[in-house]
Amino acid sequence: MKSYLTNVTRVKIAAVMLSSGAMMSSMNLEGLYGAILLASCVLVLPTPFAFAVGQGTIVPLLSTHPILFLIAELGITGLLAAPLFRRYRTGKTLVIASAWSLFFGALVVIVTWTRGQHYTLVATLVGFLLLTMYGLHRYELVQLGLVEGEDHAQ
Amino acid sequence: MRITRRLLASLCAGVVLAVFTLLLSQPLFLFGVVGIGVWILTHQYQFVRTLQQLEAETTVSQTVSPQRVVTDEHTYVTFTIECPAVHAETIRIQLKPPAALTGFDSELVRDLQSGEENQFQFSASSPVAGRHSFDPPTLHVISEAGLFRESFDVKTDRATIEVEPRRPRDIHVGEGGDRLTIAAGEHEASHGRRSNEPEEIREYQPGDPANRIDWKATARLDSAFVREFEARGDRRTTLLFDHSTSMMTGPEGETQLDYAREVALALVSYAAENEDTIGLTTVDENGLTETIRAGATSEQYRRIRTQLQDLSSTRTEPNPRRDFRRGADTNRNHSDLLDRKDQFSETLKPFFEAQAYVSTFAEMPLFESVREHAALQLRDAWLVIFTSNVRAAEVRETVKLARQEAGHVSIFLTPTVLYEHSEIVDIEAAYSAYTDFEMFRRDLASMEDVSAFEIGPRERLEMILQSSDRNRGTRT
Repeated sequence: MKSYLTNVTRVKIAAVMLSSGAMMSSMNLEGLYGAILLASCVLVLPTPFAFAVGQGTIVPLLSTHPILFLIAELGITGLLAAPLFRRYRTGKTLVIASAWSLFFGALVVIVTWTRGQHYTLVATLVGFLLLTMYGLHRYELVQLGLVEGEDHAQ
Repeated sequence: MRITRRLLASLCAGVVLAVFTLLLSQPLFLFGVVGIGVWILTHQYQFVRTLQQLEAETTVSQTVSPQRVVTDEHTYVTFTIECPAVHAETIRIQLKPPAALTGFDSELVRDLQSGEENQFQFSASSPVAGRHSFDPPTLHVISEAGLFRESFDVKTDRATIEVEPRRPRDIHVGEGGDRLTIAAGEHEASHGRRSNEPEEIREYQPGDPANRIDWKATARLDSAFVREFEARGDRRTTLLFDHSTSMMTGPEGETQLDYAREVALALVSYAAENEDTIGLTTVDENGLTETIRAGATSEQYRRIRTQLQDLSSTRTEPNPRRDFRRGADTNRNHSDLLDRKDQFSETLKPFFEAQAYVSTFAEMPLFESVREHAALQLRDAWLVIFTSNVRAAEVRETVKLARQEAGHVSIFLTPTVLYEHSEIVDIEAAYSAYTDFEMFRRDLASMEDVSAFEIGPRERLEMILQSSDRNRGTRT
């Protein structure tokens, strides 16, 4: 329990404080409700669900306040990224995670900037994500020699 | 790589944000989709690296001790798994012993501690003889955050276990602990039918057949010489095999009957090599169970071998069709006579009293079998008896009767003390019992034309004799 509080809750508390603080800084009632909802979900739900709820709260409330939006995003993103930084101390995993983040982020920016349709944007993003996941799956099968007819890559 | 419910739920969270993007026309939600997507991909990539590390660095050692056992004998199987330190929520190993081995859980799955040596030991046995191999174990891994799982076989040397059927081993045949040595070879007789083996040449005598003239020797020695052929005797052997319950002491497959059977089969093989005439008679508590008349054909030898191999202990229910118990009738006649007081009864009474001793043994199957065969098959034959020392009086009388008729009697005894328990609890009592047996055996061997031998597991006999030597040395 002690290590859990030390490692996990500390990150969550920091994320809650950053994101909720940004929301409450909008100086309205919706911001307050949003902060309370965000805090509850972050402390109760598993990480991806807390992140999704946080996104669903932050975007409608702070989309018109870029700086507050960025601060809140920083907090909620830290909820996802901090455990990865803590566990995978080897640079390779973090570099790849960063590269993916930049790639998909750039993809979103490019499609938005070119005024592409939202459907196109969503389909492109989801398609690339699923394709990358499938590619990793096939790579893993080949590495473990679980695919018949494939050479075991050394 | 297989997905889990947690992964599906995480993907759903991303899909929900994507739907919000479309419904609210707000592309900023897509940063959430990107965040969840990158989070999943990062875990997936790290899981692939974890699997690669496990596949390359996990070592499994399967050892079996002892590696050679008999059926239903326990052996100890030890699994030692060294697992590298990796990031994974759960690492489990599924061990796959051969189906013939019993004593394992139905699903042999154990959790492993990564970065440590894990060891599991089991006791197992097999009711099936043969060579049994262990299949490579399977590693089941669940990633951190429980998003992915995978299973694969770990490469390892396959341990094997040899299970041998229970059968007599290291059979001792001897006298008083000394092993019997027999020089195998053809036996000769001074008379009998001639064979085709030339023995020597001698000078031609009038009356010798012309076809026996050795022309090479004649030309060389300038005088007529004939070939003298070696006379080979045809020894007639009769085996008398006791397969009553008195021969069933010992573990399954290593009973007195099993040991005696091996020696009997060796004698049959010896007779077959020398083309000797051999017959078989088997008896149990109820009397005669099978008779195979003496013969010297391959079919004969095969029949005798088959009959010996099919022998097993029989139950003690009396069989009226094979009831040799004439003693019952004799007793009835005897009691009738005793009640009468006439001259006829008085004359016959002494005769019945003398027969009482014989009639007692007439109820004994071994004795009765010899008496049945005496007139027909034992004349000048070699009678070989296989029995135990349980019914000593019957055995003694049987041997006495047999040597009157047969040319020579050999008796192979299976002393019960050598078969009683798997481990000797009271060595003094065991030695005392063996000493009593040895005195009985010597008593039989002291008779003219009688040889008496012991059959038993050599290891056990040596244990008894060595232990008694140590005790006698301690006392002196």
